[in-house]
Amino acid sequence: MKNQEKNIIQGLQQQDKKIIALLYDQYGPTLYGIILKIVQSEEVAQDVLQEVFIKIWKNGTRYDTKKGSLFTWMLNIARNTAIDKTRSASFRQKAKIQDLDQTVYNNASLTTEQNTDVIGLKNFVNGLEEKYREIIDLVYFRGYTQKEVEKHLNIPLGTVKSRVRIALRELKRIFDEQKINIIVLVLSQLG
Amino acid sequence: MNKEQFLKSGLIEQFVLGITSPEEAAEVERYAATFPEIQEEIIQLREAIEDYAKQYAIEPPSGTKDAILNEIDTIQYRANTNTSSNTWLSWLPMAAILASVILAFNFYQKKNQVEKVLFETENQFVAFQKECEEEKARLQPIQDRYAFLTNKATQAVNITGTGLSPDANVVVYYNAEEESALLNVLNLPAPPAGKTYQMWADVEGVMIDMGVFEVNDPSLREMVFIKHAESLNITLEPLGGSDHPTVSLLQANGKVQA
Repeated sequence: MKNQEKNIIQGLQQQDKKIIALLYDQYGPTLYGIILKIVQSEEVAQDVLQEVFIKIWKNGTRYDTKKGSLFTWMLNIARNTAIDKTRSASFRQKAKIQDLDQTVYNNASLTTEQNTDVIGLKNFVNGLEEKYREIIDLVYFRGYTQKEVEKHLNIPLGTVKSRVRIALRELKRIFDEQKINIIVLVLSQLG
Repeated sequence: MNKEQFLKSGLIEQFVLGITSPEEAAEVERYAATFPEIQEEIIQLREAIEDYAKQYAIEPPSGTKDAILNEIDTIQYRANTNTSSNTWLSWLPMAAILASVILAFNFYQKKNQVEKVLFETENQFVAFQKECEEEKARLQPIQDRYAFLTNKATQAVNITGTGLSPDANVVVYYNAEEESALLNVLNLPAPPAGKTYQMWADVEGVMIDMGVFEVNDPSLREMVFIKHAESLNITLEPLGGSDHPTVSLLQANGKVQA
């Protein structure tokens, strides 16, 4: 895993097209899902995803391992590009036609249902309480600052900060449990 | 903060979510570099959040990947053509400088050539000027003489031979205004050995010396001018001339018009 990431970073710095193909296979669906959550339109999300990978390819030389994981870096690009898109005039025009709230609801439920079924980790997301899921969604997927979350949810900053912390702890706990469950499952199948 | 306090501070979680300030991020990196447990914690939290994010994964529409890779090809192609034209453009200033240098050198050479020609011309001019001055100086006496000879006040006194020298023929140009007398020997036999010709002006019966002269000198010669000469006379005298003429040896004479 470490070596693979090294190769990827090296490839990014050399603007290697093959690395973009590899990153697309590995992270394309995740980034697309998150973009879709923000822009609420498959057509727009496809454009944004394309734009995002071009940016990844172009700015690969600027990626610094010290500033965060490769995924977080790509996620930031995806998130910012998607948010920029929602602010563009053409996007707002479209949003007027569609009932945005309705699509938000539909897409959110669709996304969660579909993929947890496929991956078989339904409990993973479900295991996270709504208030933590909300925090992660706002901060990680939508790029809110903690102050913006404070205003948006009308809760004190201290509470935002502690929820951020607990949400990640919870994610880690669920993630660890999930690994154990899989091991147990595999072992029981073998047994 | 010690390690345990730092783990509970919430900074690590914020760092993983990418919402720390640059100063906070640097602090987390410092702790991570010092404590392997913190480094490990960061890695695990990242894996957890990435796995969580994957729950939202949706397969993008088919063709998206190809569209991305095609766009990269297009950009690269365009970049390459741009680069080549850029290299071309970057040569332009160089070429311009080179052209200027060649042109400047050319002008420099031409300037040198022209300067050389100018120098030669100036030298020639100076030489001609000098020659001209010399010529003028040479011409001046001739012109003066010509002016003298054509002057109305100048009379040509024909001095013709006596019985002693019947073929003698001498002209003296006599000008009383300018007080000048020029001798032109047309024909006069060579004087006997030990003798010389001498000219005399007759003023009221007194012979006054005008000087001795050679025969075989074809140029006009200045003689001593004597005022109120009535006639001019030539005698043969001992070498060096005499104070008084030897009238018995009068060779030629001519009358001066009053």
